[in-house]
Amino acid sequence: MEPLEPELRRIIREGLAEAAPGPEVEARVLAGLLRRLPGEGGPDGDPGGTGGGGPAGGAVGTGTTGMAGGIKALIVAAVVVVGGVGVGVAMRGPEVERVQAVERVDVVEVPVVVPEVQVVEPPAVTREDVPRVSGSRVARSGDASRVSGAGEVGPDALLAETRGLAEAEAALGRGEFAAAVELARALGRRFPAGQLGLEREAVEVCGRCGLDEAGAGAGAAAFLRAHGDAAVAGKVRARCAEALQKNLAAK
Amino acid sequence: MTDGRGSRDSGRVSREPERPDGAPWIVEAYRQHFAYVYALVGRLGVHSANVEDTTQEVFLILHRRREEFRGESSVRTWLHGIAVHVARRQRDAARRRAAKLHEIAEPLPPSPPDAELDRRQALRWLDRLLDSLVDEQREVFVLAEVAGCSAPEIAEALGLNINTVYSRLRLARGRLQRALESLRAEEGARHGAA
Repeated sequence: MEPLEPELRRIIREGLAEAAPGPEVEARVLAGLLRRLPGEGGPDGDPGGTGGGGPAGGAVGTGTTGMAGGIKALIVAAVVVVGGVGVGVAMRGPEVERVQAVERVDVVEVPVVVPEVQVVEPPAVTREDVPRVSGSRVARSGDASRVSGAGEVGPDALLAETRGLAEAEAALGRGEFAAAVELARALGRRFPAGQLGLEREAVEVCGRCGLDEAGAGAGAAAFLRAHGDAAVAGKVRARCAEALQKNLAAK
Repeated sequence: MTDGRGSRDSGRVSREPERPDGAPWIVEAYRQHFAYVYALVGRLGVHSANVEDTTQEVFLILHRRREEFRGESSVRTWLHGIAVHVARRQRDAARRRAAKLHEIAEPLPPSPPDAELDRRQALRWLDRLLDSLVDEQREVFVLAEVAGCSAPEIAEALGLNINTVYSRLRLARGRLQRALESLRAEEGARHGAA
C-alpha cells in the first residue's frame, strides 16, 4: 500500500493531537464507568450477563443510561484519578442536560468478531416511559459504600480510593516525596483491602526512592520481584533506578 | 493521546491485581487506553455529544468480556473491534434519532462556537474529510491510518476478507484526496472573501 499523501498525514497527526481529551473528561467518563462496574444485573448493569460470547439478548441500555442513572442520582462532585492527576468534576446543568438528551438510545450488544451489527429498532417509548432515577438507586449506592472490617467497599469506595491514589501520585509528580509516601500509607490504612493496592504500593516505593531512604532500593527490588510484569513496574524501575543500582552494589 | 498510536500504551495490561469484580484490571486498562479510545471513537463518526458515553460503553464491554481475554493479543487490538462496533451502533442510533427529530421538526443541536472550531482547525478538517467517506470505508481507513492497524488486523477486527480491506482502503484514500482538494478550494475562497 502506498504511503498516505503528506498533507493528509499532517491533518491526521494534528487533528488527533487536538482530539486529545482533557483530564476532566477522562475523570468524568471514569466516574461513570466505575458507577456501572459493580452489581451488574442491577439497575446500572447488564441483565443479560457479562460473558458476551454471542449477541446479548434484547436491547440493553447504553452507557448513557447507566451513567445518567448513577450520576444524575447523586449529582456529586466526582474526583477521580486521571493519569496521576486528581481532577474535581462537578456535573453542571448543561452536562446533565446533554446526558438526558441522549437517554433514549437503544442498542444491542454484539460480539467483536461478528461483522454485521444487529440493530434492534428502539421500542416506541415516550420520555415518560424511561425509567427515572429512583430513591432506591441512591440507597443502593449508599449501601455499597458502607464501612466494613476490611475497609470501605463498593463503587463509592473505589472512587474514593482512586481519588486518594491520584493525590498521592500528584504529590509524587510534584517531587513531594514525603507527602506522597504519607498519602500512600494513609490510603493503605483507609483501604487495607483496597482494589488499587498495587498502585498505592508503587507510589510508596517510588516516594521512598525519591527520599533516598535507607532500604528504598531493597524495597523497590522486592516490589519488582513480586510485580515485575505489572504496568506500574515501569514507573518503579524509572523512579528507583538509582536506588536499585545502589542496592545491587551493596550486595 | 500524543499521536495516532498513543504513546502511553504498553499494549498489555497486567491481570495481576485481579479481584472478583475485575475492577482494578479495567481501571488499569482505562488509564492506558482512554485517550486513545476517545480519539478513535470520535473519528469513527460518533457525534461529539456522544463520544464520552460511547467511550464509556467500550470500556464497559471490555470489562464484561474480560474473562475472554487471554493475552494472546494486546488489549488495544481487542479495543479496536469493540470500538468499531459500538461506534457503528451509536451512529445508527443517532441516524434513527435524527430521522425522528426531523419528523417532528425539532431543531438540531447547536454547533460548537466558531472560536472553538478555529482553535481546533486540524481536527475540524480531519473530521470533515472523514465525513466524506461512507461508513465502511471510514472504519477501514481509521483503523489503518489512525489506529495504525495492519490489513490483516483490520480484516480480523471487522470480519472482512483482506482483499476487501485493501479495496476499501484504496477507495477511501481516493475519496479523501478529492475531499481534501475541495476543502482547500473552499478555504481558499473563504479567505479570499474575507
